[in-house]
Amino acid sequence: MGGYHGRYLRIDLNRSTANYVALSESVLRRFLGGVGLGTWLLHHESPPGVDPLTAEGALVFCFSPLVGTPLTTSAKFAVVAKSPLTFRLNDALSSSHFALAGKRSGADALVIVGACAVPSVLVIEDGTIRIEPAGELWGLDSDETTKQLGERFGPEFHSAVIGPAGEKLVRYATISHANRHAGRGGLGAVMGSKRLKAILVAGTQRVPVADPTRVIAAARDLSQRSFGPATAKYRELGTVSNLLTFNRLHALPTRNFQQGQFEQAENLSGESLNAARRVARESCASCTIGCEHIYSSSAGNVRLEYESLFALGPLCGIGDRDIVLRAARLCDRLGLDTISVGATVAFAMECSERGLLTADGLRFGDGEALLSLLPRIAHREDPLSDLLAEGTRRAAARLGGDAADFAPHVKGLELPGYEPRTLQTMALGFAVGSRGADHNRSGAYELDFSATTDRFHGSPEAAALAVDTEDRAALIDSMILCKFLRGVFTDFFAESADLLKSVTGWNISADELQTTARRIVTAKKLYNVREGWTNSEDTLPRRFLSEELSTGVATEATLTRERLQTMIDAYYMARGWNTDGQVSQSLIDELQLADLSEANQRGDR
Amino acid sequence: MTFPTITIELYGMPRARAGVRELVVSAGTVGDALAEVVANCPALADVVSADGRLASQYLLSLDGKHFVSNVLQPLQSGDRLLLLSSDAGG
Repeated sequence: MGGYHGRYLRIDLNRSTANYVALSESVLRRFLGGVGLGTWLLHHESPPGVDPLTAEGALVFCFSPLVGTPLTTSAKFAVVAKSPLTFRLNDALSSSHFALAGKRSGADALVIVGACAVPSVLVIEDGTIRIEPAGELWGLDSDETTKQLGERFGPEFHSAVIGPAGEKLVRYATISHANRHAGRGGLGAVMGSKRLKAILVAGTQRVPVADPTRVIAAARDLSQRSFGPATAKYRELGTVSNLLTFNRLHALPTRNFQQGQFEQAENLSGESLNAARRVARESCASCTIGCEHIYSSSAGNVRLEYESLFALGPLCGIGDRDIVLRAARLCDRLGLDTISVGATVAFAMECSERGLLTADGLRFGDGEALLSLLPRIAHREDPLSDLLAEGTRRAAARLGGDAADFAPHVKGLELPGYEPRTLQTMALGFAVGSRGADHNRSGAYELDFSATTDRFHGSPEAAALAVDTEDRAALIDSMILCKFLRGVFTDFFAESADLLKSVTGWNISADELQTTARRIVTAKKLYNVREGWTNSEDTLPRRFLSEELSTGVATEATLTRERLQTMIDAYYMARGWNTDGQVSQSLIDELQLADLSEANQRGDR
Repeated sequence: MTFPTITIELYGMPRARAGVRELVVSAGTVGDALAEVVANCPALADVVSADGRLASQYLLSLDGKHFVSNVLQPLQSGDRLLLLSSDAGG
């Protein structure tokens, strides 16, 4: 079996011990790596009902069979834990040298349990660990922490760090590596709860692939295709180019989802940013796309993506380009998920305007207030910022009144920059997502941006297509490759099978991988069921189901509770789940998930 | 034969490549409109694929309401055709 060490490293911070645990070929073939393997490990290593911010919770870093190969965009890793924001399974991806060095440390995954007695750094080198005090780093931002660790440990080590937000258990804190973030769901808070400021990895243990000649040929072919038209948007403009398009289509969430267009969108557009502010283009390790566009601001250079731009700009009613760039830079350094913090501040702005919240006259469009709030939230400095550090669901529950109706989250995770009333297949994707409102685990928006569906009137017929986008995401997140590469494949499952066959030696087929993808999605569901999921969670906030957008063609879009429920029912059916969204024993058996079900019943670990 | 006058709005990669926000052209069908894009904006010569269809890296929306892919679809005077990059993700 090429591509794998065949084991994970289990690290117990309570005892300062580490031991390898074997991973059978059966597990690896069924769950591959990344998000898939991370889901399997969380079932086994995280006790049912655990509070994710206690020592008992597990924090999983998962690599993949492709990490370390010359395949473009393969230097990626997944971080998986129970989310402190949603209390459901959370998986987030990041990339670059941490993945390469982490896998060379000798394991396919790192499972971290327990907690350090004092702030510490965990150093992993070729399978051995040491835990060093890090009191002098506690309180530093992600950039400074990374810099000091680089000076202390040298270039062989690569680090994943938390900023002040992770230390203070902000429920949407990120884990940062080289200014890229495992961003969603509060994984940085999980790490902070273990008093881990940083994890450093290094090693020399390379894993052979089954057919090196075929892997090199495939890598050349994939790299060549990655230079083509399917990735041109990411190279030429980056994801920020979404903003003006979404605005024109009434799909740009504005002022806490009260509007679908922003009157200052031209000023914030990717097109104008690129013309006026772009200073560089960068890429992750092992990537030939180079999607990262760097812009200048009065606070220094900033990497900016669409999701940060929308959340810190239109969602808060802010059209000042420099303010948005500075806010994004602050979030990177503090370790805040830009989507969740932008949505939470926007929610607070609306609460303040409605008189539900006393916040010094906080209003939409107040950029200075946003810049003031970000560090206060990261440090939980005062009662207001402490409330907002909890995310919109908990904040709405404390504020009472009708705040919950317009708190923009699903299962506790704040919505990304896709207006669900004018992108109604995406509305379904948000409602049923295992980690909450999510544009990375469901690509249902692709159907809304096509002639296939009527985006103003979602239909149950789109459910099967939405399922397909989830399955593709589950596979690409488990192999792992970058989603920006997805357009270069003509037959994604068949070509993925060829890649995996070259690396692992398995005689694997497209059909098997389609089943693998279904298995991984359902395994996440089983985890959530174990943690208390019911179908009442698969919905959207009341605003989206009762308030219509009031401008232009968007007035034709109506998303009612009944329409959404019809789509959800069709989705459950397409997934093979019961009418209440539960997973039948026959499907568990068909998808070879019985070991997870049994582990859950035993309460492993 | 006189074709209706329509407006083509450019967003994202098409706008960046062409250097213009919109084109006002005479076009009877979506295919005619794409031919005008190619004629007016050499940087967008790849907007039509070899088989005459809209190339996969682009999308077209009619008046922001419906995405269109049929190049034979007729256009009416005053229509606004949005030329977009195809990948919305990120």
